[in-house]
Amino acid sequence: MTLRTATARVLRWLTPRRRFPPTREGWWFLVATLLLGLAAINAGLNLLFLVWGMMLFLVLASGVLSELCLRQLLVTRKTPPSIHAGAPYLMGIALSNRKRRLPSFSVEVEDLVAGKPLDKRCYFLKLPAGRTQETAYRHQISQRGRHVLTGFRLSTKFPFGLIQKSRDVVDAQELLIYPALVRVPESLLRGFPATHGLGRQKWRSRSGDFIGLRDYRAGDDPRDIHWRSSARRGVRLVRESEDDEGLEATVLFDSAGVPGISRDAFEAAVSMAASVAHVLLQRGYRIGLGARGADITPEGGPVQLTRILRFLALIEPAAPSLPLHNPGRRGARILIRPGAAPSVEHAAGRARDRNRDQGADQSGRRALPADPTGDAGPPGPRRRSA
Amino acid sequence: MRFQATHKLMSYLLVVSALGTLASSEALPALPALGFLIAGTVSWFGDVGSPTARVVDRLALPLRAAVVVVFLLSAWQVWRRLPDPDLTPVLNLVMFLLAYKLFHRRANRDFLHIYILSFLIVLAAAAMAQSFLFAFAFALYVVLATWTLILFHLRREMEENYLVKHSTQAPSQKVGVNRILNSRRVVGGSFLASTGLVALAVFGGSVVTFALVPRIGAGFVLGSPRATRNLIGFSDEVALGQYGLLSTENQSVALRATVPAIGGLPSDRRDREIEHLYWRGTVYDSYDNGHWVRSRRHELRTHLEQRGTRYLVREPRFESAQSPHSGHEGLGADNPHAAGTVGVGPLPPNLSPPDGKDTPAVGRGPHAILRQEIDVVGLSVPVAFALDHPVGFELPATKIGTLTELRLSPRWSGEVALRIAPLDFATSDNDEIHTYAGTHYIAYSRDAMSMVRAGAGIPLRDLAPEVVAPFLALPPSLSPRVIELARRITAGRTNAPAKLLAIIDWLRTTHEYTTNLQRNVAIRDPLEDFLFEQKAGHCEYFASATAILLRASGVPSRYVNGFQGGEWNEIGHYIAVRENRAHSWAEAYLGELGWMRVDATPPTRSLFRMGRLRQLFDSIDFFWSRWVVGYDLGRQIELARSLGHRLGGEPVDREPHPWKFPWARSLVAVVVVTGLWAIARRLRRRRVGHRGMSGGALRGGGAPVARLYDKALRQLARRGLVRGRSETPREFAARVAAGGLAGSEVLDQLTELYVGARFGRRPVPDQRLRELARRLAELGRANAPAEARTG
Repeated sequence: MTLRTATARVLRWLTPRRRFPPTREGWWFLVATLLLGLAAINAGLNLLFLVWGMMLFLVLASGVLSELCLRQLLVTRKTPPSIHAGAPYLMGIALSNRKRRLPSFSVEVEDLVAGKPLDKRCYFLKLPAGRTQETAYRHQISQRGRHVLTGFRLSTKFPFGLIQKSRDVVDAQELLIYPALVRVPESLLRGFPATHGLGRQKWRSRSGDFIGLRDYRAGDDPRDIHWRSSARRGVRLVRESEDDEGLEATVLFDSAGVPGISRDAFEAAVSMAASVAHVLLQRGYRIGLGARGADITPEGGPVQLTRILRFLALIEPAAPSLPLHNPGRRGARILIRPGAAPSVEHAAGRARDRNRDQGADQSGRRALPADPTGDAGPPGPRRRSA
Repeated sequence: MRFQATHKLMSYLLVVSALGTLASSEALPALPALGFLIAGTVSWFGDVGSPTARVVDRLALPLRAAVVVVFLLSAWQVWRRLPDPDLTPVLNLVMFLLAYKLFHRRANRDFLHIYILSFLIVLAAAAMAQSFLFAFAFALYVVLATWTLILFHLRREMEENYLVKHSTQAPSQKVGVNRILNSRRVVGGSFLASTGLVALAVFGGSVVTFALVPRIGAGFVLGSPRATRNLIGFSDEVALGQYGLLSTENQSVALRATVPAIGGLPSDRRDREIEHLYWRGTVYDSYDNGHWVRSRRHELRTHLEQRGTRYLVREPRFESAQSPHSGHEGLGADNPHAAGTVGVGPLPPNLSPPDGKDTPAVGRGPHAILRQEIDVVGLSVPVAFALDHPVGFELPATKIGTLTELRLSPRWSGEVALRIAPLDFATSDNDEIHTYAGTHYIAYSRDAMSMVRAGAGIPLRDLAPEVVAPFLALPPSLSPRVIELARRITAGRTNAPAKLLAIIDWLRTTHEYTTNLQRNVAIRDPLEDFLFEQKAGHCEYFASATAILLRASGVPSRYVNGFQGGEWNEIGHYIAVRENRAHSWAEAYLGELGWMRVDATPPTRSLFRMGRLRQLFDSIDFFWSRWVVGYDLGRQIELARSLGHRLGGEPVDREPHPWKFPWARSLVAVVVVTGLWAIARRLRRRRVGHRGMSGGALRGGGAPVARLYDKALRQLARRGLVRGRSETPREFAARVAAGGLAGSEVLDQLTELYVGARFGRRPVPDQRLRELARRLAELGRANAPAEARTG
């Protein structure tokens, strides 16, 4: 360590960056101290100097003790697995006191967004030396998308409540806020049974067409094991069946940025798309998502829900010239357009369309008209959410 | 102790300490204070929900009405005494409000009011306190205030925040406020000890502030000086029989004087010399029927000649032109050591011993001058006391920004008065009774006996008749037999000294000293009664008889009140003059010999002397008066100069200081305290065992692995991975591994070695341990936490 580095470290230790605005009581106390000082100096009453000195050094002691409280604290977040716009969530905060002997009293922790604290805070009354305590604050974010928490603000009014000393800790973390989940109209869900499939993985059924074999994974239904092939290969293999059409659905979200469609309408449509996907995945369906220029292949399970929600969390109005992808091969299609009521098209209706539709590709995917007017655009790049 | 109970106890102790500061000022009204203490004691049981609290709640309206009534009453009492307000009603009001709040402890706001009211009491005490007991009460107040404010803050935070109980075994849950207020785990002995140290630091800081803040002004809001009791005998009129009797049993210290020439004497000689010191105060020239008064004639006015901060005292109508005051010449020179300060300066040249050693003789001889630094302690009389015979005074320089100052004003017959006056105050004879406690000044005196030398005064025949007449005047009511007695005593004596000696001899032969006065009311004049009937009395009678008999025999005389002697304080190195040292004597004008002190009072039994303990208390009080109450810019300069000399290693060109910081003792105390602390720490370690984060000591070959395990735990703790108290080493290692921490396998291996050594007493191979230590160090360097996270 060079002398310069050591000097810089010592200076940083001696003059840490802190905020210490007085509290309301602190302002009164400071004003009283000032007045008493003037009175003592003017009156020449020596004992008043003693009282004045006490008040001055109470302020000084307040600064020292609060600094001791704030030093050597380590704060970490316990982020919830999913956060939806407009829905309250609990953000876990863990605070560790790494001092060897001194406890920390009356510490508040606030998350910072762009350097400004959130309106919610976590309070730790006493944090003994070498201990970690966890608590959480309840909060909600109204907008979907990326939100960056830039750090923490640790503050304390200990010991006398005269000043609120705080220090900021840089600890950036990005939160992905999923679209708000709204109530899906019953009319839209008509035709989608509330429970589907058998076994633990509801989106798979043994009643469908045989697709192939794969290795057995923990959690698979033992009844799906293909014993003959397993005996032949020496490893357990399970049979995969293709579900019938009723177990797959595709949410088509027309994300075209059309003049006249407000941002609120767009956001409402995003929320509806996410909510429909959420409900149907809960009901055991394999859900795919199609949008302008991108799509997600139908899958089931919570991972697929996360995939769809992440996609919708970041979706922005696309150029109307981009095609609306349809990743689904079969099953119902739910079309959601900003500013319009969502509509559902079940398989029976689509069979007629399929015979008529010449644009369907081999995999069953087809490009829908690029805009509500029905003008089909060129096929866009396929995109699969990570 | 439970948090709530601790907070309550501290709050009450805070109030008591605040009252203690007020008690040290002697301004605490006794009856209201007693009532307050009783009410405060009862209020202790007035917690929310208690029967007392229910009664208070039912009486809320009448109590509030009473508060208003007491407020109005206090305001009226203060207003009635304007422009010299009495603060007692205000103190009564504050105590009443405080008692009410102690009964009505419902919310945090009530506690806050209690603290504010107790602080107001401390402020009042600081403005009025004179006793050093204030320091003890104030130190206690500072400690208790620190504790109380911390507890109050925590309590408020508890009540205003959502509290969660954290546990590693169970989910977190909401904690009720009452539950945590009754918890014993929030604050404990160690908390109070550590915050107590902070409080002591605060007190030390207040002392430093007190010492360092420049005293640049005084008097803007001083208001009227407080009136205190007057000491009988120093007012405009003295009635025989009151002064000596009332002061006999009074042991209050009136003056403290530092006389450098006395301090250097051997103890036996010093005590003898002190007993013969006369502290001259008031002088009276007119007698009638047992009363001495001042005639206030212009020609008798004392002449004060100001030279800088010094005043030369003269009676020019009696001074010979051929014999100027040689001592005055010396006093007129500038003295850099005394300018602007009342510190003890160097000895005048004529008091310095020839060999320069510190064995000065008490000033005797025509040119000897005694320098005295006088602190007024308990006098409320505007008299500048000084050793007989005062020839000069020196006052502290007027402070910058001050509106009032201490002044001297001339009176009559060589008497000088003290004045606390605004800067534009013109000299007047207004004898307002102010408190002069804390006043200090320097006086220069010549031994009164040394004045008896040829050429010091003007011959009696050359004095102007209007000047000498008042000192020869006999009251018309004086009995002729007194005049006849004087002629009989001085028969055959032709000159004044011979008459003087004859009168003293007659009085001491025929009269006795007593304080048990008898009085024949049939004789109107108590002096006549003393001379012819009682033939016993105290100093006032002897002095009055001397003066009147001298006048009756044609010798000018006057009557003087003051003090005689004093007590040497071995600790503070000063002379304490108590009120029971009050004394009266006469002064006779002996023509060319000038004015001479005449004390015909027979020697009396020795007065009460202070024991060692009382000397200690008195010296503390002296220190308090001089260095706290009387601390001013001059003292600051003196202190800074003294410190500078000490730091510079130069000898201090000073007289023996009345108080020195006990460096050696302080060093010993620090060593002893440190040693005790080390022993206590060692004993505690032995008792509980040295328990690191590993949970206990290992004996034999297991100790190194325990230390290494401790090191690993500390390393992980710096990264936020702290082992819970209920977590086993293996559980902790599993948790670290599950967190995906790089190098967690090192902890796994170390944990197995540690567990095996601790619980299975398995030996740990040194090579294996070294290998793990090396890997641990590498991981520590690689995983150093980000600077930004730690602040």
